[in-house]
Amino acid sequence: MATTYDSRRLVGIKAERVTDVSSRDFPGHYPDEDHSWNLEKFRENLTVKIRRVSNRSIDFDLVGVDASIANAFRRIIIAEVPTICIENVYVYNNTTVIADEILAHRLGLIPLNIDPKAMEMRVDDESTDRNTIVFELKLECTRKKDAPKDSTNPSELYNNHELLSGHLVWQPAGEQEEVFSKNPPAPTNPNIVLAKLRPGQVVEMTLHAVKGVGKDHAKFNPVATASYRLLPNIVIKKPIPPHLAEKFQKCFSPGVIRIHPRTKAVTVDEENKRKDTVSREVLRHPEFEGFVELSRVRDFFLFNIESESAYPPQRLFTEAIAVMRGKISSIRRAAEALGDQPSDGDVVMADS
Amino acid sequence: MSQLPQTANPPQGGRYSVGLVAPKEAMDYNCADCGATNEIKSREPIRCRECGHRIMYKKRTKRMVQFEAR
Amino acid sequence: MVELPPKVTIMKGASPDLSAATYQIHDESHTIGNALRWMLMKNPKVEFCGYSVPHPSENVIQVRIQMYDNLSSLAALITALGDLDDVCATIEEKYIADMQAGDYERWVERS
Repeated sequence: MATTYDSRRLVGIKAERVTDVSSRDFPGHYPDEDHSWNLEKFRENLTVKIRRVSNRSIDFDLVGVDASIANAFRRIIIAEVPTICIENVYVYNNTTVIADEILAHRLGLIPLNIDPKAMEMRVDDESTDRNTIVFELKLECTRKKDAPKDSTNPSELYNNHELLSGHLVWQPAGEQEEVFSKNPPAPTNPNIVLAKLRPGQVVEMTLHAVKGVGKDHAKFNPVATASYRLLPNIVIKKPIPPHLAEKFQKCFSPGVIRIHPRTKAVTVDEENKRKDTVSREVLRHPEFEGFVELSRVRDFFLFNIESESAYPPQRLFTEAIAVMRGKISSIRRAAEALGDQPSDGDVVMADS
Repeated sequence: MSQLPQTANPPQGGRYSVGLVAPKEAMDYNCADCGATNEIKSREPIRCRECGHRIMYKKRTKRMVQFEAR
Repeated sequence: MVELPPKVTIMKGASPDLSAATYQIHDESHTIGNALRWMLMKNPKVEFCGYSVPHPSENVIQVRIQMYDNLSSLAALITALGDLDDVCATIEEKYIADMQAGDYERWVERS
C-alpha cells in the first residue's frame, strides 16, 4: 500500500527545476486555517525513528519539523558540539623531513578518545588538570643489526621507521589519573602515520590537548559527516507498459522499483524508496512522460551522522539538542533582562 | 603562558663584549654527504674529516620551539 | 578578562513601545537565526519577522520583529524562545524514547 502525502508537504521535482521549496505553514498564509504555534499538535505530528546504528554511525528519521530546526541541529553537530584535540605542540627536537609546523598541524587533527564531558573549556590560556591533557611523543629511528643484507623493506631494516599516533604517551596530572582511570586518554586510532623516519632521525615533543568547538577549528569537529536528505517520493500516475518495466526500473536506484515477476506490474517499494538518489533519469525518457511524478517530502528528514570522535554516534544528536537549549536559554535570559530595564518608554538602544 | 616548558638553554646574551673578536669556540656541523659531526674553526678549510665532502649543515637548535596545532 | 558585549541589544530606531524593533544577538549565526525567525513567524500577532547576518566578519545576527496591535516585540521574542525550547525538549524526548525502544538495525563498521 503506497503512502500518499498531502501535496502541501511535497517539494516538486521536475526535469530542470524544483518547485514549492519553502514551507508555507504560517498563520495568515491559508485563509481560515490556523497555523499558529501549537505544542500539542507539534508533538502529535512529530516522529523520530531510529533506523540503523553502528559503532560509528547512525541513521534516523526526523519527521514533522521545519527545515530551520533540522538544519540548526545539523549545524550544531558540525560546529558547536565540543571535542578534545591537541592544541599546543612544544618541539624539543625534530630531525625528520617533516617540518615542525606541518607535524604540529597533523598532530592537531588526530581524533582523541577523551570524553569532552570530563573536561572544561580552557579560558585565557590558564592550564589546569581540568582543561589540559598532556602527551609525550618521543621516537628515535635506528638501524636493525640483524637485517637481511638485500632487504629494501624499511620495517626489516630499521626500528621505529614510522611515527604513529599510537606513540603518544599520556602524562597524567593532578586528579586526571583517577578521572580517566577507566578509559585512559589516547588517539581513537593508533595506526595513523604522522611522519616517516630514517636512522638517526629523532622526534621529541610535548603536546597539550584542550577542549574546543568546530567553528574555531575543523579539527574539533566531532563528525565525519552530519547530513540530512528529504525523503524521496515517487508516484506512478498510470501503469507502466510491461515491455518498458525493466527500463523504468533502471531509471531508479537498485531496490526502489519492484516488478511483479508474472504480471510485470511496476510498483514503488515503500521501504526502499528512501534509497533513491532522485537522479531524475526517468524524466529524460519521452516514453515515460506523464507516467511518473517525482517529489520529496519537505518535513521528512533522513539524518545520517558519522562520529569521528569520542562520542558514540547516538549521543551526538542529544548533545546538539543540549547545545541548542543552552543557546536558547542564554538569549532568553538576556532578552528578559532587557525587559527589566526602566519602563518609562525610554529603551536603551545600542548605537550601530 | 605560565606553564610553558622551560627552554633547555639559558639565554646566551652578553657573551660578546663590544670591540672584541668572538671567542674561537668550536661549532658542530653535519656533513651533507656522510652525516658525520665536524667542527669548523675559522681560517681552516671546510672539509669533512670522514669523507672530504665540502658541504656542511648546521645542527638544529637545542631550544624548545612552540607551535599551535592549526 | 575582556568585557563581553551584551548578548542581546535593541538597535537604534525601535518604536518606543517596542511594537517594532530590531534585536542584535551577539555570537549567534544562522543556526539560531533561522529557527527563531520560523518560530516568530508562527505567532499570528507578528506582522513581520526577518533576520540577517550583516557581515560574515562580525559574529552577530539581527532579528527584525514587527507586531500587530502595538504589542511588544520583546514579549513575542521571549515567547518564541520558550516555544523553541519546547521544540527541543519534545524532539529530545522522542529521540530518547525511540532509542530505548531499541527497534533498529545494528551493524558493525570497521574503522
